[in-house]
Parts: sequence; C-alpha cells; structure tokens
Amino acid sequence: MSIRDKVLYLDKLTVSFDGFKALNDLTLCVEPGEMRCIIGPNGAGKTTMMDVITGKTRPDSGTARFGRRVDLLELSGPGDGADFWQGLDLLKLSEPEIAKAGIGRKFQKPTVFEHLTVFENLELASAGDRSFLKTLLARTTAAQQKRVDEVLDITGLGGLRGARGRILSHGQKQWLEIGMLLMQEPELLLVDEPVAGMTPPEIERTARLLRSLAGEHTVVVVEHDMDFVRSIARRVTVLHEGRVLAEGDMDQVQNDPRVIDVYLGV
Amino acid sequence: MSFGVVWPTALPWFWYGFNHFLFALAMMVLAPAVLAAVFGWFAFRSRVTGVYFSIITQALTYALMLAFFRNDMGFGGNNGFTDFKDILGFDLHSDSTRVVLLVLTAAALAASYLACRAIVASRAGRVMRAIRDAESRTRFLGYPVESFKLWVFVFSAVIAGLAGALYVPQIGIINPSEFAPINSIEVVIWVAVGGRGTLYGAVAGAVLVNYAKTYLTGAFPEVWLYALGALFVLVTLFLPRGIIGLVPARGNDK
Repeated sequence: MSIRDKVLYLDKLTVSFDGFKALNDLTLCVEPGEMRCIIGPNGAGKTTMMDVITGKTRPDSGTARFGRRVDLLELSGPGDGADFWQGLDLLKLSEPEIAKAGIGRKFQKPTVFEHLTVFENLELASAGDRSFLKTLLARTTAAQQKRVDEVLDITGLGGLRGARGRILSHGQKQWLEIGMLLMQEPELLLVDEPVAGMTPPEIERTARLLRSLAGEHTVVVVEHDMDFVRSIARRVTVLHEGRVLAEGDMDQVQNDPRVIDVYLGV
Repeated sequence: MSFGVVWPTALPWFWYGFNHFLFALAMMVLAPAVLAAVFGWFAFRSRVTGVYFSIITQALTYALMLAFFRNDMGFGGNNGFTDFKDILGFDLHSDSTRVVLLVLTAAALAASYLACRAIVASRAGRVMRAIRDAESRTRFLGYPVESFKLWVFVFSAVIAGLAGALYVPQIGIINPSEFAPINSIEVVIWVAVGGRGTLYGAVAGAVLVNYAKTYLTGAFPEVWLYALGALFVLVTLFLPRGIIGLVPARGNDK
C-alpha cells in the first residue's frame, strides 16, 4: 500500500494509555472523494483515531500521512493536468497546522456562535487574515460573500442567513457547523456522530448533505446509527479493540461473522 | 498637565517632562496602555479568564493602592495631589475654564463612543462576540484569542486614562483612595443599571447613577453606600438588561 492516490494513509498506528491500547496496529486508507463510515463498539478507538489525525494525540508508533491533491496546472501553468500527490506527515504538524493543511473536524456537540447570525458565523469561518488589526479593518469581499452564499445553499440554511445562532434547532446548528467547516475548504472532513439526537427528517437531510459533499471533498464519518450509515456510505470500516476488524460495503460487513460477533449481533 | 504644584524637594525622575503639556498628553495614553499591555500579556497568556481575571485586576489595583499610599513613592502619599492652580495658563477655578473642560469631556465621551461603536461593528467586533460565546471554538477557527483580548484590554485602559486626566482638573484632587475596589464596583453598577451588552446603556447608567450619587451624598451622605448596594441587587434581580431593557427591543442586541 502506498501513499499515492490516498487522502489518508494510516499505517500500524499504536496508541496506549496506561497500558490500554486504544489503537493497536491500526492500518487504514481513504481514497480521494470517498464517503467512508467508521463504526465500532465503544472503546474501539474511533475517537482516538480522529485525535491522531488532527494532531490532538500523538501515537506511540506508526505512520499517519495526509495526501494533499496538488494540481500541476495551478503550480506550473499549462501541463498534462495530472494530479500529483504529496504526502504530509501529520505526526510532525501541530493542530492548527493540520487544520490549515486541509483537514476539518466536526465535533459531536455542535458549537455555533449563539449571538451571531448564520451569515456572520460563516463569515468568521471563511479564510482570511485572523489578526486583530486586519479584522478591525476587514471588509467582506465579493468572493467571500459568494462563498457564504454557496455554503448557505449547500447546507440549506439560505432562509436563515439573518437568524441568530441561538434560535437554530439542534439539526440546523449541526448543518451550520458543517457549513463553517466548508468555508475553510478542507480536502478531508472528519465528522463525529453527526445525527446523534436528530429527528428522522433531519437525519435524512444530513445524509443528503454529506453525500453531496463527497466527491469534491473526502468525508470520514464516525456514526452509530446503522440506518444512517447504510444510507450514506459506500464503504464501511469496522473498528474493534484498536484495529480494523472488517472493511467493505454495508452488506459485506453486516454479514461478516466476526462483525456480528462483536458489534452488530448485540 | 502642567499644574502649578510646588514641591519641597527635587522631583523624582519620573516626573521629568510633565511640565510639557504635550508630553503629559502622550503619557496619559502611554502609561495606562503599557501597564495594561504588560499585565494583560501575562494574564491572557496564562489563559486567565472570566471572574478570575476580574479578581486579579482588582488585586493589582489594590497592590497599587498600597504602594501609592507610601510617602516615598513620589506621588504624594495618602494626601495625593491637590491645589491645582492652572492648566496651560488658564485658571482652573474660572467658570470659562470649567466650561471648556466640560465640553472637552463631552467630546471625549462622544469620540470614545464612536471608536467603541466602530470596533464593535467591525469583523474584529464579531470575533470578540464569538470569543464571549465560545472561546475555544473561536481559537479552533484560527483566531489568536489572546491577542484580541489584549488589544481590547489596552484600548479600554487608554479610555480609562483619558477619563482620569479629565476627572482630576475638574474635581481638584487625586489620591490613592481612588484605587479602592469600591470604584471598580461602582463602574460595574453603572453598566448593570444602564444595560449590559450595549454601549449606550453604559453611558445612560453612568449619568443616572452619578446623578443619584450627587443628590444622595449631598442630602443623606450616610445612605449612599447602602443605596448603591441595594441598587445593584435590585437591578440584577429585576432588570437584568438594565434601564435599556425597558425600552422595546429593536431586534438587534449589539
């Protein structure tokens, strides 16, 4: 297995906390534009894996690389247009550097800015100079305005652009937060339990939203809700005791006797 | 400011230059700015926030009060400074000078209000509200939260320095008891009475509470502190949004 043509390349990752191996020789690859679901019982290492990818936790051993798509057309003018993959060693980067490199993470509990409008929430998330003096004089550019409109469109929050964060429903907050991630135009989106606490229509809409993001972005979702996983994922990875137990489409993993044994059979 | 203060002995080194009006004017801005920048840098870098930050600023002020009460500090000990005679050659006791100082005070208030308004309305202002709502989320978006806090802390110190420079020639005395915690509490009460979270609320509260103070300390001097305490409790209980909260909301809670 090589880093070429992979967005995420995790090889033999091991993380232990006081002797407990949260990740145990975990090896996992994600292709560009993929929509991948990670499932597994509690303690399987899902959150630890996300923590390693985003730089929050450092592994004891192993490799974690982020394959960033660099368009040669943009780099050197007219060429053959072939994409060229450049691996970034995630274990050498800090959390903000990883975020800047193009990995966005959505946490389980939605946090949007309660007293700012939906538009302002997205505006603050958009790229741009973050220093005090620059933001003091910053005007929202036409390009930023356009990007906010696009994201409002994608997340279906267009009708709420002037509404304050605090009046949004739980589902709308989750979509707004996904929108704030999108403003930073990440290559890879890590989404932690996006439908926990959502009503069935909200779950359906979240599924549509995440499906629409795959392709242009690579999306990795950690989720417990099996119907939801079935509705969005082409490829499912089952984690168990810090390593990959099974991988394949939903029917394959659901009929895998080992998976039934540790997880789905319960 | 070039007040005609008569000193029994040579001035301490840090008073040199203060006989030049422009130097005094520059120090009015620089002294509080540097103090706030140094103090704020340490406090925000250590991620001291919320009520703990209020407490350590109070502790700093208290320490300064004790230091300034010492006679050998070079600031007049517990008597402070008084008996100011003139400013730029104008008699401080003449009506025309007093009117000019009042007008300057009103102009300074207007300028400070507009500057605060501009900051609040800028993207930096939205970042500050974001920090208030969800500090770690703002940091996660890539904003240097500590630097935002430090700039605003320094800016507010400059406004306070301006207020102090206008206060002393009009009141005629300044001594270390002005460092007392009650003064900080009083400012908090102005804001609570006027209306938290608004700029004009703070102005309205300052005018109203000080009007009451002027009346009560004249008519019933022993009642004032109790009245102030009762006011704070009552406003917190029954008017959480202050006097401004009585005005129908415009649907815009900046």
